[in-house]
Amino acid sequence: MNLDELIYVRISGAEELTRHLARYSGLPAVFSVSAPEDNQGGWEGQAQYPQVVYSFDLQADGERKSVGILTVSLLCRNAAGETPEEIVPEIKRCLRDVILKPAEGSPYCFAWAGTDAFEVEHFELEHFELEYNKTELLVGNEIRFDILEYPSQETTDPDPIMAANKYIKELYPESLIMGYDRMEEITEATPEKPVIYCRLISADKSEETNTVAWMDGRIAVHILCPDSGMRIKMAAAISNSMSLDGEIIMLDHSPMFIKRLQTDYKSDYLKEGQIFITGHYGLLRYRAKPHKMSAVRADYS
Amino acid sequence: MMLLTEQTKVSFDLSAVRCGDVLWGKHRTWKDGKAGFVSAAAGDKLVVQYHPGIGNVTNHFVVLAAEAAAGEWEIRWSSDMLDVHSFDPDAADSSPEEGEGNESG
Repeated sequence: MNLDELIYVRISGAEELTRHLARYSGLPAVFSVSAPEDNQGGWEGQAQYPQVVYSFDLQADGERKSVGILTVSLLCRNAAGETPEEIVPEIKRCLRDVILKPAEGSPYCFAWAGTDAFEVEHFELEHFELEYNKTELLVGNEIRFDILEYPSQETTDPDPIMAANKYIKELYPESLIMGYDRMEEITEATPEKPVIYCRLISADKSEETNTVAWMDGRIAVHILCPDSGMRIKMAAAISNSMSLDGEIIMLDHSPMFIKRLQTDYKSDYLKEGQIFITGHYGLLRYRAKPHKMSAVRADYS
Repeated sequence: MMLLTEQTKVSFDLSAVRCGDVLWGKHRTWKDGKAGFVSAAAGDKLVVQYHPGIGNVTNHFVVLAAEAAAGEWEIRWSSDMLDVHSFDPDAADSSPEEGEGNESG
């Protein structure tokens, strides 16, 4: 499924949300981009509100900034019983800490960016008379989410990210590690099964020896879990374990020494990550580097 | 109430597959299989180092014993390229493929 279909499946499959919504052709009134006209047969003469209309736009942007905006509009009839205040929290809950993985492309997550209330006058079309002769007030909310992308961070051997993924997986086998475990199309991070994403921020060359070029890789670890207490505990446990071990064994069995470790419990777990590791790992030359003559100066005086 | 339970656990036969063996694997979610070398072999998983088609890049994929037992993997492997073994998820059995192997050339 593509991202649009996955968003539809997620919203229309949230029972706590859809029990508030009207029905169209027997399905919850959830629409992409625009809702069907009032005189469409799918409404079956029933109430057309509350209804949810969503749209999204992806854009090229720097990593860890928004790669797009998802807008979910909720429309309710002012006179009817259901109010936006009851339904908006359900929309936010259904898109919170959920990772959607389209068939082609990276996994995506949504971070709530804001909600705006609005009112709109609705002109109802009378059946068989093509003129607008009734008006009613619709109230609604526009809920905006930043779309965050979680691209694959796999590089090449020796791969600091795969090493960090493997280390955390061994520490928390029940968790789902993005880029290490296989992901379903829709994955919900839960306290029982948190989702962890390791991201390579940068890699700098640190020092060079005869047989090894040493690199400093800076890694951010994101712990996605709706329970804030659980996030803090897991972040502390992972950083403590790494501190005590002092090294992470990479997939080629070489060590990545923990040079620096910082845990920021207040940082945004979707955008920034909570644990920041500077790993010191070596690239083997496999043969001795020949000496080079450099800075040769000749003085003929 | 019973305090202890007995559990059956599947694991790779490490006498059949070893580090350095050539292994081709295809997970049910992949379009194509990947071929590489077994770089780490343990009872619960095999780590295979492969070339992803980008110059100077090597990556790994992991074959979990539990996933193989669940029929999620097609696997062929060999330690000498004479006998090529295949893992049939339906039969959960590994045997040299017909027509391959036993030809010392």
